[in-house]
Amino acid sequence: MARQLLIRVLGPAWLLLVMNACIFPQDDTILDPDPVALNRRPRIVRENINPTLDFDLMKNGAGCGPYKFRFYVEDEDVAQALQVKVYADFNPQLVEYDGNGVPVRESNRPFVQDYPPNGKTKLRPVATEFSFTPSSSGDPFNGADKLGRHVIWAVVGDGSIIGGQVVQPAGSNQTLPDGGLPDRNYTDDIQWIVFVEQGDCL
Amino acid sequence: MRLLRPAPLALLLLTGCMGSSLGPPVSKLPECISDDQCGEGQVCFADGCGDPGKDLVAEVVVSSQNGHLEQDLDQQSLDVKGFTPLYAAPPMAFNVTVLRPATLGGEPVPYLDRVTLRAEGRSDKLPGIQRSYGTSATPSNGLVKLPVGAGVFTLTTTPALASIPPVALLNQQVNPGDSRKLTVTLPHQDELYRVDGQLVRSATGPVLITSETGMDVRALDAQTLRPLSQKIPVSITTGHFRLLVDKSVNAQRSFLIEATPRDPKALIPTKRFLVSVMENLTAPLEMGEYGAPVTVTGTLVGSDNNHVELDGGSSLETAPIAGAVVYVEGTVEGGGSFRSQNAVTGADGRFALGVLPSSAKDPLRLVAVPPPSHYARVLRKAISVEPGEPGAPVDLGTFECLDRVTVTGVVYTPRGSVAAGVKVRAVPVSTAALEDATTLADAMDTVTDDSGMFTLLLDGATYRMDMSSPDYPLTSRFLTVEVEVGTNGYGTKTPPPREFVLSSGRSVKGTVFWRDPTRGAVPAPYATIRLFRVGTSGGAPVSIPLAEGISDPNGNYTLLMPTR
Repeated sequence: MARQLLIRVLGPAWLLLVMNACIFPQDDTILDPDPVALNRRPRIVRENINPTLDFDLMKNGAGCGPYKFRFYVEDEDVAQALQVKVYADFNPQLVEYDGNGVPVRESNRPFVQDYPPNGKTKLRPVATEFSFTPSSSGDPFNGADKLGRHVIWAVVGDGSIIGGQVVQPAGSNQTLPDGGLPDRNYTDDIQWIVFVEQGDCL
Repeated sequence: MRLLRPAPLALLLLTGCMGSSLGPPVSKLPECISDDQCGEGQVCFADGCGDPGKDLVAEVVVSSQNGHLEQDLDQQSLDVKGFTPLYAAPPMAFNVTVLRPATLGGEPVPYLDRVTLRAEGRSDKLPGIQRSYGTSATPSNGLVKLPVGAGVFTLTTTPALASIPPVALLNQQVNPGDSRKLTVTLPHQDELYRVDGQLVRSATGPVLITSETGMDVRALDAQTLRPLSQKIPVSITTGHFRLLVDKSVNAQRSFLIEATPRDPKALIPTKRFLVSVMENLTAPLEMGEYGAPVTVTGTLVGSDNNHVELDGGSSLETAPIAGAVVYVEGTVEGGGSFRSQNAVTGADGRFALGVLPSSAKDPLRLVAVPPPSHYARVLRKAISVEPGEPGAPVDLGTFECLDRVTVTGVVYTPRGSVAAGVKVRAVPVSTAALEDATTLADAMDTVTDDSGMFTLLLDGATYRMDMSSPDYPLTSRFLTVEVEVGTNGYGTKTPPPREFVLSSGRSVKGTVFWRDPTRGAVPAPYATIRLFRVGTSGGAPVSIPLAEGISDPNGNYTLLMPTR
């Protein structure tokens, strides 16, 4: 008897408690959409860069080279295409900029490696691989005037690379109404400082 | 700018380019084209049919960041169904103790000044894979560590003090896991072979070499060209020098003294003098009368309409080649060798170079290298440069280049349908016996179109054609491209399209471990793996890449391998 009374009294009270979300008015009638997943930065895998970044000597004589360079890139956004450009002595004067200082074209001649969307793993399974042979005519480090110090600069971006910078999505230079920043493309880069010396490798 | 010119005249002008044309454009066939042509269980590799599970070597780099460098692991078989663990050895290094003779005699003491260590060599399991490492450091109590990969190396120790010759240790074997301890004792100055000499332009007078930055000399082994001394400056005012040469020279009859301008841009030749060990240098070393610098100009052009086969007597059209690298090299009067700086042609194909006059006996050679992927190919042409008036450029005229060879091909899947989107890379592996013997071009890349076709502009050379896509294993074929001048005198004949058939693939999975002496087998995150087939091509051993990959943060890897 007492048990039935308890159910009659507490039942509605319990129902009222658990259903208050339906009864009490809410400030917002529509829930916000899920936040847009922001783009993440691609990365050059530092753990295994060949040769190591302290590699510094290339000779231009007989039997020398090709000096091969290899590294891997990764991006958490597996469905994104990546581009790598490698510059031998990047020259900013060979880059054309628009009125906002954004590169629009360049006449540097970088090595280019394109990675289509991977869709499987964040690590792109194929290395960026390039080489220099200073003894070979046509090599960017070939010639008496190329002895000495040079910079090999590798840039990876999750968009096209122009003049060492990644092309940004349209409207990415404007601040959002809430004061936040729009989604952007990103780069990662490494560089080797190398010296080209006279001498054979026999 | 377009030039119209009668064909016979153009042909006459082109003799420098055409003189060395090489027979018909034959691309040598590999032993097989597709797996279907091989026996049961075999795959068509670049070197012919073979067992896809044998003759494999895996090159593993555990972590270059930590100095855990290349080691080559023989793989008798790679398990298809299960996991194939790869066990790498601990890191390898040369631990070099550098000593110098004690000033007052007695035992050598640690050398504490800066030294440069260079290990230059090759893998002993992967033919054709060169490896080199270097460091420049101040020894800690005489000890310098140089992390290296596995292989056979020449280890050269060069002290900062230029009067001490470099010390080379030949044939230093490094096996996986080796940490080699070596001691290098730098020679005492009294132990060195001393050469006092004088370098002049002409012994008559004598006439000294006029140079703002001066000349350097060094001694070289006459057979191997291995340095027997470091570079020593020559006195600008007297031309005198003193070389301290490695004592090993005493075992030889002669050695070389090489004289070079300290400023590589100076218009002064380099010359090597053969010097007898038995005789002292009583007479000055003469560079010879190599003449006064001359500025030469010229224009580089090529055909502007590729692969047009014209009937005899028709006119030819040319266009300037912009962005080509041009230089002049050769032997000058006095016997020295000279190479100019590089010039880059402008939009009008024009170039200007500072050079030395050619000798009476030998012409100089002009080399022009058009930009990569340009239709024009490398030009090498003998030129004669007469002594000129100071400040008056000498125009050499117009130089006309032939076209590169247009190589086309069709790539098929193992089932016989065309393969679109396949990356095709032509890797030059040899220019032996071909015209451009000193030019090993960069690899050229392209991608097959929707009909599986690709086109590449290539110089004469043997290439390894690597075809890769996410869905099929790396497939390679050797292709020799030879050059024949087309009937129009400009273009080269286009060989018929080649056919390439990809192999079927299988996934090989596993984990890369390295054997830590204290912790045992430790997974290796971000380890790189390159799998090679060791075969033969043209009678010589070759390493043919089969697959590559990188392990994930847990050390796990996946490779896509060819299979039947």
